[in-house]
Amino acid sequence: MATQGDSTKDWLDSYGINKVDLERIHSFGEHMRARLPEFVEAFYVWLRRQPEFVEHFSDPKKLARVRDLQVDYWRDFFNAQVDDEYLSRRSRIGEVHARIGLGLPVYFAAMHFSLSTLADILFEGEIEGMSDRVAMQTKRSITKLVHLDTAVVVDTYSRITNEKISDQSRALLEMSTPVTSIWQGILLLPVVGLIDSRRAQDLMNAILAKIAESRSRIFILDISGVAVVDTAVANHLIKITKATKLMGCDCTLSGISPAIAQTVVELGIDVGEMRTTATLRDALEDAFRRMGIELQSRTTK
Amino acid sequence: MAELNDQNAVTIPRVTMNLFRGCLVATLQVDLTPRLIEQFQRDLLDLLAESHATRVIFDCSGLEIIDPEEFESLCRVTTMARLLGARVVMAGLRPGVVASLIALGITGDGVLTALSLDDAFEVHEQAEQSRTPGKDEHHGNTV
Repeated sequence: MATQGDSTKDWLDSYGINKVDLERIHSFGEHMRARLPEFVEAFYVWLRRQPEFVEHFSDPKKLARVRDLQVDYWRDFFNAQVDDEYLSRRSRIGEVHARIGLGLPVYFAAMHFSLSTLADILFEGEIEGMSDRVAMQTKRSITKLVHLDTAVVVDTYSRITNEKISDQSRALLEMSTPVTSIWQGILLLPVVGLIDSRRAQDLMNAILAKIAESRSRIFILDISGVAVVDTAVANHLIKITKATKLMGCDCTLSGISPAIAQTVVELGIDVGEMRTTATLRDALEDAFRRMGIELQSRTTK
Repeated sequence: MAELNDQNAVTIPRVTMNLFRGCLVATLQVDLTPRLIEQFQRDLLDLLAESHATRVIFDCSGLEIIDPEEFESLCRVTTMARLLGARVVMAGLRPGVVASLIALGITGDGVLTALSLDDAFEVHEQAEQSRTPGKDEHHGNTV
């Protein structure tokens, strides 16, 4: 047998696959070799009836390629050489399924179909010198290996799906704190969506770091895109303004809608000395005034 | 142990204080201990009484950690300085320090702050301008 790393041994152990199992599969494979095309054909007759077929296999060229791969897969299976290479080939199947978005339910159904077809062949397939006892044992060995294959595929599938999800949430997080310097000494952060304590913490860290880096003295937090402002959100916002104040940077909260103003007062939230404006424009004008900047239209005579 | 008490003034590093154009700049660089703050408080108030300076700046840019207790002690010192007629601006608090102070419930209300030493001078000037006759002396920024 070729190289067997620790993880391969672990896999074999956890599915209770030993040399005898592999030998049984291998010797059954001798009989199956000739029948493989027929076996795969039966599989595709089944697959054609699945709703996923149209979505993923409507292209005839692609279908032919996948069928060849399918034959290779079972040839590999009946070769029964489970080593690191074997597992990485299985893992690649999981990768492909995850990338093209072929769901696990159809994959499980397919493996189940193949397994029961193999059982049919074993028990009713007039194989020379195959007693019921041997057929039973072979069935058990095949089941083990099919389950191992499935587990490897699912493991890879879920790992890749999780990676995708964490990549996306990281991208979302980075996107959600675009602290921008809109003028010399003026920072702006438009907040969109929901604010929970985790996000508030991220916002604060991003803001403080940016203030220290850019040495800005005015910071505008625009909350016109924030869906809900309740006591918790208001407290997070107040904390952020206090933190910027401690840094020596004045924070203006802009984009307070009439609805938000009402809820804040009705909830009895103490906004303290927080500087607030209705629109971003007001906040910007206020910032310019405090910085002593005067803007003039060029066409004005 | 008696030795320790005696060498109090010798071994405890003191906060460097410089008078710069009528402004007292205290550079806080070493770790704040209760003893150090106590010493600093005495030194600062003595110096204020002696020099009649009305502007004080605490340069905190060298401090990596300030716990809420230490911060409160510094705030108490600023209140004492105010009683002696001086205004204190805390300058250069680091993002990490601020984030942890806020997380531990410090609000920083009533503290004048500035981004840097340079900004602190400006904050002093602005505060003086806003203190025009007829207006409340502790306008806007104090407790």
